[in-house]
Amino acid sequence: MSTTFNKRLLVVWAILTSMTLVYVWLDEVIDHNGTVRASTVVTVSAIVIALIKVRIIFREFMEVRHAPALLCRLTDGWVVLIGVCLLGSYFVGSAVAG
Amino acid sequence: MRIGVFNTIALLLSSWAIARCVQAARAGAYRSAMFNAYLTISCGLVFLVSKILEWIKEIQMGNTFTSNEFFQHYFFLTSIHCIHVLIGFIVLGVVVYQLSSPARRSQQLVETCATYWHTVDFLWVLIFALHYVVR
Repeated sequence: MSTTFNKRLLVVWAILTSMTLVYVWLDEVIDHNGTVRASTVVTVSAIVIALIKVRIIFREFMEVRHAPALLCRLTDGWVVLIGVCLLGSYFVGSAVAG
Repeated sequence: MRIGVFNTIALLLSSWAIARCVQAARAGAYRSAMFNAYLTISCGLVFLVSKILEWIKEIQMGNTFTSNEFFQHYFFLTSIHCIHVLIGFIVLGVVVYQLSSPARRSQQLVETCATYWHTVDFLWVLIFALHYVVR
């Protein structure tokens, strides 16, 4: 039981690390010669990946998946709220800036 | 970017270790729990040292708190986060203190402390994405 659980934690850590390394790939694909270029794809991908990582940390490392349904819904609600705020700010800001 | 990725992986490793610590303490394997608590502290220290080196590098390149709005936000958010990492070391000290004696060993306290450390971790995940990747 304990070994199974620890293996699960290791897999979770490996997934989180892999998702972090996706940022390096995104960085390499978009930028050329070290010049940072504005990119909606990178921005939206970065925010979505970060929110998925946060949810995985909630569910697996913080063991929310074993918690009462209310706490599951609250943490999921927090992730959605942060996502709406971040992406909303980005798109509204982009529209206002023209 | 690369140092930010390194920071993130170090902190994710620390979160993994404290999750293992909680699991070991729950199973009564206190030696393993203690080992994982120290591993968490070590990864936290790696994060802190690399963050300080990153700040030094930025300041040497002329990027300070007053340089522009980006670096104002960058230094403000990363330093606030680092203060929480320092508080986290006190919290992890409580975990070690709890695990070190059979007379204490409150599982509830260990899990509460671990939850704090995970919070420090997931907040960094968001800060990293917003300051190092988003453009």
